[in-house]
Amino acid sequence: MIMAKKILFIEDEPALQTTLGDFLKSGGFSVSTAADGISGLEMAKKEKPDLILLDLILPKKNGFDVLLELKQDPKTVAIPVMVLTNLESAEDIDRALEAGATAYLVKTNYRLEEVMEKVKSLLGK
Amino acid sequence: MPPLIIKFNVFSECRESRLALWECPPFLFVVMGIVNVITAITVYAFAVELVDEPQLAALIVVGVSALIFLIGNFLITGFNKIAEANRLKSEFLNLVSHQLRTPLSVFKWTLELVNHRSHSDAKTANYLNILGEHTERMVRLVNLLLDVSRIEAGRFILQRSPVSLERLTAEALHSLKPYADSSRVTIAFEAKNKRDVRGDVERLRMVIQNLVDNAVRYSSEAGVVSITTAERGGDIEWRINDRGVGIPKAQQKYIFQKFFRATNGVHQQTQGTGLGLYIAQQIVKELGGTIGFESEEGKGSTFWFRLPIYK
Repeated sequence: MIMAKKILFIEDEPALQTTLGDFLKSGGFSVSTAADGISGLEMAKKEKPDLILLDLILPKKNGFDVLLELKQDPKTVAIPVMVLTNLESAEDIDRALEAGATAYLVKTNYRLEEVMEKVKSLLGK
Repeated sequence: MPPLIIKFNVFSECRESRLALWECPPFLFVVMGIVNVITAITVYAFAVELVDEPQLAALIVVGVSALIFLIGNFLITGFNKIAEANRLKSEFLNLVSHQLRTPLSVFKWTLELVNHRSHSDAKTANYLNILGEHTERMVRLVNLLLDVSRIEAGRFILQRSPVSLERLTAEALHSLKPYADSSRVTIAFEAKNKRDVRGDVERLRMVIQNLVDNAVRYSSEAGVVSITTAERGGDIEWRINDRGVGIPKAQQKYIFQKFFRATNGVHQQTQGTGLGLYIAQQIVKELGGTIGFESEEGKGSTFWFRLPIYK
């Protein structure tokens, strides 16, 4: 049996954790969630997921800082990070891409199906 | 050269606050200072000529200077308040719109999950469609407001990446389908050219959604809307045609103005902000493209925009 790909979803809004989390699980992924930047970083190092979905406005440590730390740590540098946020100014997008994000999606503008498609293409599935 | 530095800072400060020089408090402050000095010297020259006593002359100079200083101060305070109110309005709009986005994402995704579960009841499906349609409308409205506040704050910076108009149109048609269905409007789409344009994907999504939304909204009952993309001399032209109410000739020149809505449109449809076309024009212009339309009242409208092909 092939192991399900692991996704870490760092998002502080429980309702979004549930909706996208459930949807990804129904697509055959193994999903774990973290509700703030610090626990997100810890889980990323411990679980070594195949993909990280990262919100930018997070309690304790914001998503930009989380992203920078992920990309500085040799243990997590290779994990692709898809930013999933409601910030969408060109400055924020450039800042996230420069910090090493692989993709950037604005939550309100994407359906779950479209998010799943992106996730699959990033995981080469 | 301290005065030059001050002058330079004033100009850049006014540019940053997006105010015309004569509405910009720091500039007015400098002007009032200069006026004050010139007045003091002039009054002194006259006073020395006309009044014998030097103390009286000095008193007149001080009096006039103080008066001018007071008037100037009132003026500048007034303008300062306006500038501050304008800045607060933009910040408020920005904050509220961002705050609205999280619950909107929740609505959108939860509805999608509910729609994925089987429900045999046609009425429920219809209610869910209505909810979905209005959630999408709210998403578009919030996107519009955010961009208006950015344009006003002079922070409207766009991405320049390859964008497939074909894909964006297909996505927009998917999200607007419930609305088109309930309005009994059929949308036909033919991509004659599939090359990418150079642009900002989220903003172009908004332009396309606005134009499709308008075409459906102002279509006559059971109308047909057709969309095509084609190559036009280094550009891709995206074109949408409806057989709706059209725009009265006399009002056509105002159609891209902020908050403007044609009178016959308002009679037909109460909903609409008058911001969609304004934003669409700002976006297309910013990306180095052109936007335009042809319309005849009672017969329909064709809106188009052209953007450079991504190389």
